[in-house]
Amino acid sequence: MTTASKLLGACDTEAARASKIIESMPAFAWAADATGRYTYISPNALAYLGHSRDDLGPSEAGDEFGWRRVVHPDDYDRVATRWRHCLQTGDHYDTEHRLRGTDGTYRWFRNSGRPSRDGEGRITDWYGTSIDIEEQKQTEAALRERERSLRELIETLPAQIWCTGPDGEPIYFSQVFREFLGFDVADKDTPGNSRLASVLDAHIHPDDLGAVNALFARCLATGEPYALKHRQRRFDGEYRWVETRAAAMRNSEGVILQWNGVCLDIEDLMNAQAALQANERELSQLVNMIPSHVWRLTPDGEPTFFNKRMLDYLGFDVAGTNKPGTSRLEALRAAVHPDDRSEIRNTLNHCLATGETFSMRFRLRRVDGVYHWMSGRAEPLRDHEGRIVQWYGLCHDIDEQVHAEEALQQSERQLQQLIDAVPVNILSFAPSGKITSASKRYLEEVGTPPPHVEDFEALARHLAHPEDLPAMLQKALDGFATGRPFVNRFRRLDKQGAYLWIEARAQPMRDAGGEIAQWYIATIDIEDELRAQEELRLARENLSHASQAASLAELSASIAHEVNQPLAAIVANSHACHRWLTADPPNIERAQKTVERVIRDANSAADVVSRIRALFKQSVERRNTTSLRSVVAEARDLMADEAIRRRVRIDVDVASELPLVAFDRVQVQQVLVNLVRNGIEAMDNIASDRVLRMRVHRMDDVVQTEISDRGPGVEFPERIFEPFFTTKQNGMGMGLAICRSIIESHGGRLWVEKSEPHGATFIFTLPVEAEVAP
Amino acid sequence: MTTGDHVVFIVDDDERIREALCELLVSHGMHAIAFGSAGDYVSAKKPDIPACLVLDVELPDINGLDLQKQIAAGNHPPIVFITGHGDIPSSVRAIKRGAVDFLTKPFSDSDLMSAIHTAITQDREIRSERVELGMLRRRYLELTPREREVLPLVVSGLLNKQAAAELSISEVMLQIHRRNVMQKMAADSLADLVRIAERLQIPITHSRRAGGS
Repeated sequence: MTTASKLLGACDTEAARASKIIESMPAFAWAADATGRYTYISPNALAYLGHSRDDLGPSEAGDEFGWRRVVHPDDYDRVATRWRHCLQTGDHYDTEHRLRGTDGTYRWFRNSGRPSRDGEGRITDWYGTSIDIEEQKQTEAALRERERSLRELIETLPAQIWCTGPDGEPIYFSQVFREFLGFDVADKDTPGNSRLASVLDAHIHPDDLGAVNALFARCLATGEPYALKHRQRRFDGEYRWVETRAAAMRNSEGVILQWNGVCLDIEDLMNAQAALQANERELSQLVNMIPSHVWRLTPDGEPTFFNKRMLDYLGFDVAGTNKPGTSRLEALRAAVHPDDRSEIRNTLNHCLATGETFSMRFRLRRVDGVYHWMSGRAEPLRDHEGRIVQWYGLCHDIDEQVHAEEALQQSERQLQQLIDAVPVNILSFAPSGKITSASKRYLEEVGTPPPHVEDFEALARHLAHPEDLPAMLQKALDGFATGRPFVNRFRRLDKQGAYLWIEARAQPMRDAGGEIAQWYIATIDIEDELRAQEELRLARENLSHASQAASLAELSASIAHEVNQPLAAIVANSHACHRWLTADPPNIERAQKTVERVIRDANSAADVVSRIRALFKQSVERRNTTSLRSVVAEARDLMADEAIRRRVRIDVDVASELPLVAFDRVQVQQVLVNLVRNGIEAMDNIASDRVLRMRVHRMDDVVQTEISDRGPGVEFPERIFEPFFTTKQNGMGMGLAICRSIIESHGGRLWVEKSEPHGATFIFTLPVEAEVAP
Repeated sequence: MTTGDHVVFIVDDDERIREALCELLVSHGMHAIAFGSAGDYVSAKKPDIPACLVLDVELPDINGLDLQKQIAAGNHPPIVFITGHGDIPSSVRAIKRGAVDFLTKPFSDSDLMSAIHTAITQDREIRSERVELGMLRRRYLELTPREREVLPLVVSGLLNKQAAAELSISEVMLQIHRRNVMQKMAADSLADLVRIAERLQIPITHSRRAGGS
């Protein structure tokens, strides 16, 4: 073989190998001449396309390419235009188009062709490849689709989304963000300013701008995630709070590619938070200000909250109940009064277990150690399933109230004791007349009213003496009707069935509005009083009978006057008569007149005498045997008022064993009264120590009575008993004379002796009665 | 005594007494007017003739003794007290104040009449004296001023000469005045004139011995 043939042979081998390489490549290869007619198409291409080379070449006219048959109709025009252009210009031919395979489906191919030029630069051939990029294309499409849908997602998310480059320059705003801001990434560009700065200036609140800039700059530098709450301006000028978060997006080497951020509108949240805070403050203030202690327990009873008042009161907070070795509740219980501790533990435990409302009074220790009564209440807060979530409690300081209650109870007890102790019966009635209460004493003395007796009228009918009933009932009913207090005196039936005099005083008690709330009636026993009054009246009457103003001096003066008047007239008339008869001539007529007058006046005088006689006669009939002691006592009682008035003390000393004496009580009383009065008057000018002594004792066969004073004494011890003898300015001098005559008519004696150191003692005696007088 | 020239006033609240006393007085031929109370007596118009007042002490309106005190200031008839009581202090007081008597009932008629007589006589004398004094006073007023100057000198006992010198007049003039005085004063003698002067309470200041001053 020659070299040429060797070369040829080598070329053929090379060509065969080249051909094998080309045919094995995973690509279609082709070659075309300068007109575009295919000179070569790789077999795999032809196999795929299912056409011959000739089919695929250009048409005779050159206006259509044979490969039109295989190129997708939508791509043909584009491709054809490009091929023609490249054929003409020799530009690189790079297109992507779909080719139909024998199975009828189109697949995307990248067709690249390069011209080959001769030595003069003329295109001689074209050589190209078509690579199946269907998968790639699908992937690209899928990618694009994903990208698109992602983009759409981002656009439609109700969040303000933005992206910046690694340098912070904004590259993307989501639609929502755009709509919010009212501008897009590039809209605010100003020369000399970075886009970022322009954008931030345009929408960040001036007060927050500094913080935003600072933080973002740091994040850009450090790559830390960005998070900030700030205000940004809406398109309408209103600022709204947002929370902006951004994170860096890195590649596989960790290099930041871009920053992606989102702004969440938290305006409402902020407002709500602010409102909540304000609410909380107010609530807290409320809880701390109300005049009560507020506390909270967990469902187990552990204290979790004290309001300020409670804190101030106890002197420690919830945290102060954290004591080692004991629960908080126990520590809190230590502030409760020792006497109340076990009860509060039991009650609270019971409530915690059962969920019942806690309610109790107990004493709680104040920070200064003083215990105050508290009224504590607690109720559970339940969730929607009824489980207890918290216990809320209140302690109200009732210390004053408790003390007031105690004082009231004490006062009530005392009042009741008082009512039971005084010797007065008390009944109370409602305004309707119904009996509402009766004091203990009443029930004991009068007895419980029978069942049918329920009101005042029934009670009155049941108890009052029939004779007294009409008047007292009328008075009472009038009183009830008019509301005016009234007094009744009547006889009331007592437990033993006897009628006793009582005095009933009724008084209404009015309420704050002036209406009568109760009638109170107090009754006291006046039986003894009335009896005593009656006796006194009789005694006075007896005395006054005889003494005519209890003054013998005055009595005798008036007697004298009564008698002297007619006597004087008689004497004058008699003399006149005598003169008439001895006249010349005698005047009989005149004389007769005078005689008539004499008779008349004499009778009148006799009248006076007989009246006086009758006065004494009355007492004479009353002479009987009585006790001198009681007469002395009576005389003392009768003179008691006068003695008090003149500051004289009367001492009575009557011997215990006195024999009986017959005497006229009234007369002897007269004597005693006269002597006592004299004695009192005798001491008028004594400065002090005015004592009158009455002494009665037995002396052999007489009973001797002595009346001693401490006056100046008697100057004329015998003369004073003479009628008309008196040392008194206004006296008649009859008193002692009459006294003596009374005593002497009883068979006794009356005289006076000197007292030591000064004063007089009048003494009279009465004979002892040997036997009881008939 | 005739009934015309005297009257007895009786004041007593007891009618019997008034009656009886009037009767008694009439029987003695005396004129009596009775009153039942002090007020009645005081207010009544009384005749201006010698009188006596028979006065009861126990009167309804005023005590008789108090009445005595009351009417003491003016001219009143002498009082004879009558009383049913008889206390000494009252009687002493009555007498000291000028009552004629103080009688207790019943009194004898002679006691009463005697007292009344005394009283009326007393009153008569007082009256006449009063009248006389009145007359003297009137006469004195008739004197001329000069004569009134002369009178005290003359009754002092000065000689005419001395008296004239005193008055710086002539003795002759004095004698004329003196005669006029005597005549006007109706004095019978110098002694008479002296008594008159005394009654009129004309002071005798000059004495002869000193010579007039």
